[in-house]
Amino acid sequence: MTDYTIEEQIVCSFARYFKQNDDFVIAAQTPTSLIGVALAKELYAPRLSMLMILDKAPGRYAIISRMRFPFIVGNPPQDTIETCMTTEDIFDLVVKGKYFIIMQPVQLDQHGYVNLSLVGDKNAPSAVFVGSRGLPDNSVNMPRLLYYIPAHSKRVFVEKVDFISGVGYGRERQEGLIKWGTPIEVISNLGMLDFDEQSGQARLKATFKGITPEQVQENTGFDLIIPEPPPTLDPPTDEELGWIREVIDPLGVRRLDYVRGEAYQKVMMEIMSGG
Amino acid sequence: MIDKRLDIAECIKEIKSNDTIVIGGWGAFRKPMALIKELIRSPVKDLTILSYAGMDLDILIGAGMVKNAVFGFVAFEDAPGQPGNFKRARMEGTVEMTELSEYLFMCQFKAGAERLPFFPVRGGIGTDILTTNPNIKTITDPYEGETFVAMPAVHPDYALIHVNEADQLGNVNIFSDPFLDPLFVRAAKKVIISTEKIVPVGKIKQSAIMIGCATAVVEAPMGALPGACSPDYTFNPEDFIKYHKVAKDPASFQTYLQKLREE
Repeated sequence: MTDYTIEEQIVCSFARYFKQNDDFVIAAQTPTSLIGVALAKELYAPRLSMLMILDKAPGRYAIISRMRFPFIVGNPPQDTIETCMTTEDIFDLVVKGKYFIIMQPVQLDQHGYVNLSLVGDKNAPSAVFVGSRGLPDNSVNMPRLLYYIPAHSKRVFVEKVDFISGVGYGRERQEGLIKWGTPIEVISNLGMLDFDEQSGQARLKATFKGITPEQVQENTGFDLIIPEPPPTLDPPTDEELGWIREVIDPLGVRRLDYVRGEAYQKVMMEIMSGG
Repeated sequence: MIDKRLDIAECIKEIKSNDTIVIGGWGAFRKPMALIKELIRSPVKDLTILSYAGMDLDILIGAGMVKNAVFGFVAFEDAPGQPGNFKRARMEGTVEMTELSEYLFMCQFKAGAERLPFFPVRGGIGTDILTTNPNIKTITDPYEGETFVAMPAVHPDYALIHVNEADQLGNVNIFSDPFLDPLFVRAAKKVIISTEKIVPVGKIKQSAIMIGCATAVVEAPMGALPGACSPDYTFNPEDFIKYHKVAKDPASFQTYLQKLREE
């Protein structure tokens, strides 16, 4: 078995989340999740349409195939563009249940409610973010939900979110007010969570390489259901690693999600100089 | 033949205090910034601004002209930096904040454009979009019994949009994502269009906005700067970083504003 890094395991976790018949238009917003979706399209979910920002006309978005890193955001290679689409097209896809965005909420709570709006008192917040955006609609229209938390901490994983932007497992679902949007899963830099369908309580689904269930719990602001024995994750296969290392991301752009400051600059320089 | 072309100062001076204005574009893209810069020279206040907002809303908040900010989001999107005036106003509670989802934001215009009192929407149920906006009510589907958000219609006094080409009648070409501008135009009472270029009548084969809706057309080359107007030009990230630094501090923002007014 080939050795692998935690980033490669996270990429594979994104890829394996998608299945043969998933025919979503899919938006991912970070290197690891993008590379994961690109890998899914090659190996597990060929019907996915990958959405990319496009700075030039005719639309703000392009659907692209054969995504290979690196490329400049907003300017994917012309020969990878299948077609273009507009913002209103995205809204149409959302309500049709065919849009799948891997979002990064500011807070996520024990029942899968998410916040992208503000932290603190709603009328006098201590921090302000972009706003709930697509979450109210995505969380009730998407066929299922996947959130991504690149820095797992108690600041993000809170008992109760300060502003409900996206709906989790709660009263509304129990009362049948909401039709779609579950199951909900989470991928972080430490592991994966899902939710117990009955209680709606967050549960540890997997830990990544070298991470213990205790470490995940210590960095989570509420009690996780931790199955006994703790769940394990199949390591990346040689086929997956071959696609990641040799085809999709030979320069290691996938490292960028988990480095900050000087370390980020160093990885960026390596990528710019060709590896 | 009708000629709707107007001088920028002439058409902006029609806007009054307490007016409701929807601003076209999206984040850092195709915002009518030339019109916004003219608007901050005007003495009006207590505006209700509706926007998929970026620097447009942030400048108007910083200029003290906004009573109610109605937004689908507030961000510079792909451009760097953050909207400092918006953040400060929300933390300090100096401006009424109407946070909507992107979709609910659109649907208030769908209702307005179709002359319906509201538009039914699934998204929003169970969220704090509803608890923080008690004026937004829900409705029961008379056929199946499902509960929907009944997003109330809006009919803004003005829509301000920026386009690639327009003729003197107010037919327009938008050569990139139209965003929701065509819908804004249909819902608004008056429409001010700024354009990169005025073209002869007959050149625009199919107007991107509804025929006859334009109130005034203003020629404003590079009129979306410092944002993008694809494919004519894109934004310069440096401008947004500079703005970010200025908007972070109220005193330096006021100096910046003064300079903008004198430009």
